[in-house]
Amino acid sequence: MMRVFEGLRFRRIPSPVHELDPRSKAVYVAVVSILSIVYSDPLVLTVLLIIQIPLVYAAKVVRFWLNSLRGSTFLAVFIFAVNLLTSYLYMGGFTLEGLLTATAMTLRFILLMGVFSLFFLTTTPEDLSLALEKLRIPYDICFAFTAAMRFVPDIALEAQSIMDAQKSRGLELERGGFIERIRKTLPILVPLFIRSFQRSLELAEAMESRAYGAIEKRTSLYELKMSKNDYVFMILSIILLTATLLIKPP
Amino acid sequence: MLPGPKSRVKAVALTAMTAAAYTVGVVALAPISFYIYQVRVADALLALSTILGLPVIAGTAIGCALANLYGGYGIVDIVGGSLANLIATTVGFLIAKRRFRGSLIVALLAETLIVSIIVGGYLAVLFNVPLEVGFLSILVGSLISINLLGYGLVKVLKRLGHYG
Repeated sequence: MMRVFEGLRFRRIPSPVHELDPRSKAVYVAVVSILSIVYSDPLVLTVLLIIQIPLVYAAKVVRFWLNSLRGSTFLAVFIFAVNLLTSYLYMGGFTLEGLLTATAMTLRFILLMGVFSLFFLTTTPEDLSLALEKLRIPYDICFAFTAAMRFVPDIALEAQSIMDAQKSRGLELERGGFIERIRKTLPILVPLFIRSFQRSLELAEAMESRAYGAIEKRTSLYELKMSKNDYVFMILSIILLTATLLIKPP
Repeated sequence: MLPGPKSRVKAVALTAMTAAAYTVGVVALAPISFYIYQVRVADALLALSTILGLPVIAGTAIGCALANLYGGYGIVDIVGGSLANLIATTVGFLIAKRRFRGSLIVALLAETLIVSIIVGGYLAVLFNVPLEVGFLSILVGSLISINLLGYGLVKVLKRLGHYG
């Protein structure tokens, strides 16, 4: 289990995509999302998906990207199966049209997944928090966001210890029926939350000792700045949007 | 009744920790599947908004967005899921605050319904999944995680009283 978190912990890789400003990447994510929602043609969606690949390569996050896509297999299969089934029920048989719609919807899902995970794989938590601040989101929320990210590996370790401890007391997590297995998670959830609550008190003390919130207007050591590459990237994104809409109106 | 944090710093700290716990719960406690129903165990934490209020409301929304970072369900979670959590926990909190007989159960049922309607709704709009199918499959999962597990979690924590 720890491997999951270890593998996905953010790594600052020197790549052109990592160096882009989160705001310009957000424009790109928005463009791809809009396009993927506007079009339900499998061809357009495939082309959009292919456009992601060089970017993922440039960002040097291929393995992580594929990993996060694998995590969404359940929903992708669900969307495909349900779409196919409804077209079967409503049109009285498997039609090419039904198959195309099911494929398009699954592609749309994979595309949305892919573009968002590219964004998060290439944006450091600190940059994200700075960008949120620039968007005038209250600092309390930005801080909670970064702090949560920082504590995830610790709490994961805690969860692992709790699971081991309960197993050593005879809790068999992997056995039993559906409801039985769900009930067995309670002895893990309760200590996990209590420990989180205790940690929050420790964190609050640490924050207070550093005079959190004492000064109304905060300043940052690092400021986000848009570079030339950012403007180029944003313009390319907007060109992608307008060109697609012009070449193949939905 | 558990005291929700009174000071702003404590509330911010609890928000962060709830978010982290939710993220760990989503990723580490693998969802338990049963045909098309998937129970996300971590959703039991949504029930805590009825006793702890704002930190849990913001925490589960942030946690839901964060879970995406660790390879969750992507867009489906980061926008829709966070929004669903935010609205559901807020409504749950507001209902539980009135403290009438059975208010906890009503609050949890409301949370379940809101999550199912929002998530089922955008599954329908975005991915052409019929509203009934998406709604029902989320409803069953949420009923179990929020109403069964969440209720148990709230009861146990209330009994423990002033912990920490």
